[in-house]
Amino acid sequence: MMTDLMDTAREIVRQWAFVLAVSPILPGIVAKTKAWFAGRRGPPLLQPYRDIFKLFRKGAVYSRTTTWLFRAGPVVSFSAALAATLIIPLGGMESPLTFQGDLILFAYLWGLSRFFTMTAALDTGSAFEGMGASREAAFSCLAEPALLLGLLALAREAGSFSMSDVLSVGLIRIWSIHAPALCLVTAAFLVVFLTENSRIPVDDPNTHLELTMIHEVMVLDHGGPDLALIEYGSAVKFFALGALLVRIVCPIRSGGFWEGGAALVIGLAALSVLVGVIESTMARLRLSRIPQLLALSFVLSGFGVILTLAAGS
Amino acid sequence: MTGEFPAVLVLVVITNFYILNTGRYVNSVRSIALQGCLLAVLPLPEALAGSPQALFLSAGTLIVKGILMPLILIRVIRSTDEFRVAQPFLGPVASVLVGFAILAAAFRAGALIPAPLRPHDGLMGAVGLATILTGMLIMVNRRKAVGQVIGFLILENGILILSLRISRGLPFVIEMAVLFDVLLAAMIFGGFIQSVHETFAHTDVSRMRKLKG
Repeated sequence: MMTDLMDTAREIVRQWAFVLAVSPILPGIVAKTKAWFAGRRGPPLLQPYRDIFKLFRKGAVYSRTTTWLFRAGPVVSFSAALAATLIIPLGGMESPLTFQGDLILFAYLWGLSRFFTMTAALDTGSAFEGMGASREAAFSCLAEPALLLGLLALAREAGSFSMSDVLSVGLIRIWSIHAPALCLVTAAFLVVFLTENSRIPVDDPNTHLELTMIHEVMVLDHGGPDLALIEYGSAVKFFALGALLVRIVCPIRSGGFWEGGAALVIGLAALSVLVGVIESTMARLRLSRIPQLLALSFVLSGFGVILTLAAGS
Repeated sequence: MTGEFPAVLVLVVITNFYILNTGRYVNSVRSIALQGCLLAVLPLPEALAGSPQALFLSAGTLIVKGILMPLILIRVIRSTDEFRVAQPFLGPVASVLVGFAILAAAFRAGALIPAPLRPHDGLMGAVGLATILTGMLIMVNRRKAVGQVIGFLILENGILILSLRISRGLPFVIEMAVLFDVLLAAMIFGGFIQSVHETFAHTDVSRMRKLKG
C-alpha cells in the first residue's frame, strides 16, 4: 500500500515536471508560425519561458478594492490546469490519476478554473472586466456541451468513463468502425480547443481592443507573479486540451513514458503549427457569430453520439 | 453497411446544417451544389453491382443537381441584390438546434421505414428523412422566394436518398427524379419571376431617376 502510494506520487511528480518543462514552448511555436506567415523573424521559441521567468521576479500591485478572490483567481486556474494534466495519459501507460468518471472531472476542472478567473475579474469592480467575464460565461456554456457530448461518444464506444481507457489502444478499433463519428468529434473538439484557449476564430490573444477582447480583458489587472501564473496556466491548458486532441487523432501509445511523451510533444508541436496557420489565415469572427460556431460544434458532437448509438442498436 | 457510404451521408447532413446556419444565399447555393455532387456518389454501388441504369441516375444527378440548378440559382441571386442575405424567422442558432432535434427524431424513426430490398442498411433511411425534414424547416423559415427554392431542393435531395434506400435505383426512380427536376425548374422560374417582381417593387430604377429632379 505504502509503496503504491510512493509510486503514484513519483508518477505524478514526473508527469508534472514533464508538463511544466514542455508546455511553454507551444505558445512559442504558435508565435513563430504566425511570424513566418507575416514574413517576420518573430520572437525566439523560448521567449515564453523568459517572459514567465521575468514576471515571477517582479512584484505585484493590488488594488484596494480587491479581496482574496482576486488573488485566488490565477492560483486556482493554474492548479486546475495542472490537475487536469494528470488525467491525460502522456506516455505508454495509464495516467497517474485514473478512475471511472474522470472524463467529467476533466471537463469541469476547466469550469472551476473559469469560474475563479471570472470572479477575480468581477472582483476588481471594473465594468470593463465584468464585460469580459460575461462574454466568457456566455461562450463557455455553449462550448461545454460540445466537449461533454464528444466525450460521451468516446466513452460509449470505449465502454468506460475513464480517460485512460478511452485514449487507449482500443481507439484504433473504434477508428476502424466509427471513422465518421470520430471525425465529427475531432472537429468539434478542435473548435472547443480553440475556444477554451482563447484562440482566433473565437478570441484573439493579441488584441487589446475593448470591443473584442474576451479572455485578455479579464486578466488586465493582474501583474507580476499572478500574470506569470496565468500565462503558465494557459500554456498548461493548451498542453492538456491539445494532448486530448492529439491522442484521439493518433491513438498509438508506444511503450515507455519518455518515448510516448516525446511522440505526444511532436503531435502537440504539429497542433501548435496548425493553430498558428489558423490564426494567420482566418479572421476573428464577429462576436454575434461565435454562438453560431459553437452551436455547430455542439451539433457535430451530438451527431457523433447519434451515429455511435445508431450503429449500436 | 455494405452498399452505402457512411462518410457521404454524414457530409450530406453537415451540408444541411451549414445551410441552416448560413445567412448568405450564395453560400447556401454552393452547399446545395456540394450536396448534389455527394448524392451522385450514392447510386454508384448499384452500378458496380451490375445495373447500368444506376450509372445514368448518378450522372444525371451530378449534372442537374450538382451543376445546372446551382448555376441557375446563382444567376437569380446575382441578378437581384435584394436576395443576398437571408432574413429567417428563427435565428441561426435556434434553427441549428431545431435541426438537431429533427436529426435525432429522424434517427429514431429511420429504422421504421420498410425496405424489403435492403434490410440492413444503416444510415440511409435516417439521413433521407432528416434531409426531407430539414428542407421543410428551411422552406418555412425563409422570407424570400429564393430561400424557399433552396429548401425545396434540399427536400427533394432527401426524397432521392430515401428512394434509393427503399427501391434500388430502378428506372422508376430516374423518372421520378426527372419529374421532380421539372417541377423544380418551374419553382425556380416562379422564384425568378417573383424576385423580379419584388425587385421592381422596392428598387425601381425609373423612380430613382425622379430623384434627380
